[in-house]
Amino acid sequence: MAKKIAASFGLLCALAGAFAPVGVFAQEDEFVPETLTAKAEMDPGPNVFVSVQNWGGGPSVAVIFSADDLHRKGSVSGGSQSHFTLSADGKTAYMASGYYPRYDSGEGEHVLQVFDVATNALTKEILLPYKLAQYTDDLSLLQLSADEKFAFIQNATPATSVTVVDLTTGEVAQEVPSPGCFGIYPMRSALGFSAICNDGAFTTYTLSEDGKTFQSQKSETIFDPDADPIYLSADRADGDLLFISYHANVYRLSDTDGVITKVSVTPIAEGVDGNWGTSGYTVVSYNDANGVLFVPMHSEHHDGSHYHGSEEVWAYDLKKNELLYRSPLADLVAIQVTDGEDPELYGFSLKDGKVYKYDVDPTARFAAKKVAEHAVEGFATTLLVSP
Amino acid sequence: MAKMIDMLLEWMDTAAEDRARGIAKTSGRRSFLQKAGLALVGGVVLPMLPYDNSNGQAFARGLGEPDELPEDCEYWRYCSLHGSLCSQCGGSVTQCPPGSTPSKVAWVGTCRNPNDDKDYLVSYNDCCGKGGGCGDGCSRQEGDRPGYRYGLASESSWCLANTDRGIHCTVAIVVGLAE
Repeated sequence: MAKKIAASFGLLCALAGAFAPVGVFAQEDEFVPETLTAKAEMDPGPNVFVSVQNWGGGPSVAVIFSADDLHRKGSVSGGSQSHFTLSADGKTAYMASGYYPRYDSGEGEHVLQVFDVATNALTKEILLPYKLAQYTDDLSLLQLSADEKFAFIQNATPATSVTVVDLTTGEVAQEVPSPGCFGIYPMRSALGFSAICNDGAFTTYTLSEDGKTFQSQKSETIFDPDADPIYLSADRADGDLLFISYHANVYRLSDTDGVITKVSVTPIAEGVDGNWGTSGYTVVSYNDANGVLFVPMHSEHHDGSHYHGSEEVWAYDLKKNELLYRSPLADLVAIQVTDGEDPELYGFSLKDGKVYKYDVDPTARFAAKKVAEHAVEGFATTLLVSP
Repeated sequence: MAKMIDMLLEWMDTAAEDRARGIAKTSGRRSFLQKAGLALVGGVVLPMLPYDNSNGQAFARGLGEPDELPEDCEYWRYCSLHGSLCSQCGGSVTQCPPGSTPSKVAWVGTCRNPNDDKDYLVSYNDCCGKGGGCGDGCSRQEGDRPGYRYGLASESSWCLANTDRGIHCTVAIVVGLAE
């Protein structure tokens, strides 16, 4: 039987050779095999990063899209339950995450990883105290100092503290205990950060030049955590910090004196029918050039609805205290607006599993219109836009 | 009558929408891809029915509850829950499934028991050390606060103080009367 099969195969080969198109053989001399390579760098241009957080023990990924048309350009990946941030120039990415060799049991490691964005290459790893906050990703959980020489990383065991990493030496400088406080909001005028505390005050931690010691100062009460709780999400507006509450009250705070002080509170949904409240995770994004705040909102908000997806994104002029426009952008849980005169808005929908880009028209009261979208697999609550 | 039907349909739409939102939102603490498919079916075909506990079954545990505790997200003691229901994973409302370990720490909610109109403190413990998603997602998160009030923070893993940190599902233990 084996001989019969071999004979048949030989006959087929002979026939194939006899009847093959002459052109095939004519081109044989010109054939050049393809070469396997790895693309050295992403295509240039501004980027959007969607931080996809893995809660199953496997790798988290920051997926990188073109900010122009949202085509996928690359990614960087780390461990489980990641937190992510970028340098101001968008050239360096940072991810703090957990590596668990057995995924769901046994010991693990918490690591800060540094990536070169252009090449997507891992350039540095720094072992952290095994205390990284295993918490739904928020931009306030991994931040850089104003001079970008230090990284601040939120811990929770559930006792809270902040790991300070010296990025020059690649070593942990110290662990700052921050009991009852959470979130990291770096100071711009000094080395240090503020954190939100359980009584509605903030504590500001000012570090020594080498990052190895600190002094702290607590503010007066800023908000009522029972009646008007604020999100972790924040942005800067003309140097001040902006926060927003579940009930859509915008808290404008200053940290310039080494302690948080309240500048103003603006209820952006006051007088609007429908019992509107803030919705999502990354919910505060401010366009510097025009002084306009963008917030995802949903109607008939109630206790427990604060992380629901949006029904609309509101554009609110914080200089004139005026609601400019309510764009009907559904199911967004994270938004980012660029800072230029003609802003672009980006949003992520958990429900759709998509990142969206919207053109914002300053001549039409900052109405937003969808111009691009791309699918994103996984769970994400933050996104960042780089130059 | 027509108005009543309209109201019912509107309520069903809202319930289905809330369910879809809940499943999408909880995926951070569970398997997203597994549940995304269920959201479509569960949200459209099986809108949640109102939980009716006035069915005459025997009271139990001093809370005026039926012997067989309900397994849906609308059950009163799930008011601040954010996770997967262990009662659908081989455990129960108060028991972790075999092979998993109760979290050493937990977040707390305050829920109104409709049987006696009293508020109770409910401890939400994750069951740890086992991977893979299971059970319906449930994200009501009433009383939830961010990590600056960590004891109310349902967005945290609560396996964070266990040696085995895999999150499997969440139970709801009534631990006392709220003041």
